[in-house]
Amino acid sequence: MSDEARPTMQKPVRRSNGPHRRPGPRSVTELKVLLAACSVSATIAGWALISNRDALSDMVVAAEDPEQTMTTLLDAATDVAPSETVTPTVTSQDIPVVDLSHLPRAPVIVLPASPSANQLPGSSAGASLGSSPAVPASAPPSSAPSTAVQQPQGAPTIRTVTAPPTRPVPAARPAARTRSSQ
Amino acid sequence: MQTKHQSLEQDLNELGGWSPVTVVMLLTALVVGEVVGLLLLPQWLPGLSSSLLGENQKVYWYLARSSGVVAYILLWMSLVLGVLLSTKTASRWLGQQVSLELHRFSSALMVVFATFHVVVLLGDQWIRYTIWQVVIPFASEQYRPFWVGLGQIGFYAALAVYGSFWLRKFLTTRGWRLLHYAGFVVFVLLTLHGLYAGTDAETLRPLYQVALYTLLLSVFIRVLMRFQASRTQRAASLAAPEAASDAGSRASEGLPS
Repeated sequence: MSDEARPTMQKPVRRSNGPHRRPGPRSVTELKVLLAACSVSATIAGWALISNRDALSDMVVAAEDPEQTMTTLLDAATDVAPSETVTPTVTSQDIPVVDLSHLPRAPVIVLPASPSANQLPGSSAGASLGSSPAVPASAPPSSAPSTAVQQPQGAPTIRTVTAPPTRPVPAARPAARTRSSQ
Repeated sequence: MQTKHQSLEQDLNELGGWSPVTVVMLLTALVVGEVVGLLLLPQWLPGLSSSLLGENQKVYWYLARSSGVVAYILLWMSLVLGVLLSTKTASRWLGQQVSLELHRFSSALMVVFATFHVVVLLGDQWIRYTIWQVVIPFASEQYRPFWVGLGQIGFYAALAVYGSFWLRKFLTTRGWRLLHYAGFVVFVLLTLHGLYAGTDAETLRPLYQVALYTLLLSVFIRVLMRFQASRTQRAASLAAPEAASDAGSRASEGLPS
């Protein structure tokens, strides 16, 4: 049988890329590769974006609330959870009272009157270093542990505020992880 | 006579088997990628390196989030392509075969990325999922358990819908259709999962809205075209007996039909 007699057995002729071909990638495989590559790129870009945004939000939190950030850092350093409150274990009975009435009165030093120079920040216009104590004598005793020193009549009360005793560090636990962006 | 453009195209085809449009697209993508990379890498590198090498390695969590979003986009793409395939709209844009292949391939990619989204969570040291918590729906308690469970059910449903591509031979048309329509249930489940369990739900709200509205629009087009087709069919079926009777009367009168 001649070749002309059996045209159906010939391989189909591939259509050449003519001017009327559909624009864009020509085969399904190319489109599939494109789609897969875009998906992988989008995942990696998403990872980069999220990590960058997370780092930025941490920085913003640090800038907006430095006190909170410092507390968090200190908590992380001492391994104390932020929610835990440290209560002082020293009571008022533990504060020693020293009687200093037998001592001679301290001489009063009178500074030259210069309201602008002597005025304490936050005090009234008449308050100055030589005329008024920084801490009023009638101030209620603070609940914080302190050492009260009994002064001669008229002299300001000196309160020495001591730091609360350090809390024993609890057993090791996993480091606190803030997830601000979650 | 062959023009200069045609000869250049032929040369390129002979050289690499790539069409000039593809070559231009790839080159453009390369240049854009280089420029964007050069501009963004210095900013992104610290975050990337700290998520990879820092004390708290968050890379697993970040990859889980980004791959989840990509899987959702692929699901949306597959669904919209599927609906538009049934309306012949996609066939007009891309061709029947290309649309069908893309519909299938995007479903497969969706399953791959959703699997990655699940598996990579096992590496996260903060959430500490076990393999059983990942596999069994509603078994986890660490993080928004109900919405995570919905996502797990949605993932299994997506697997079933994807399996329907291969089980078509063994299913009746009605069964296959029902199984394939479960894709919409998958979409609803995973949208809820993304909205209520997703960390980036607030940022990605426009994405969810666009996905929902475009899918609804494509379904609306589908219903509208179905309605029009049934009307045309009814009109044709009404017109057919009249034409037949007309032809019969002409034949009985000996006139040409």
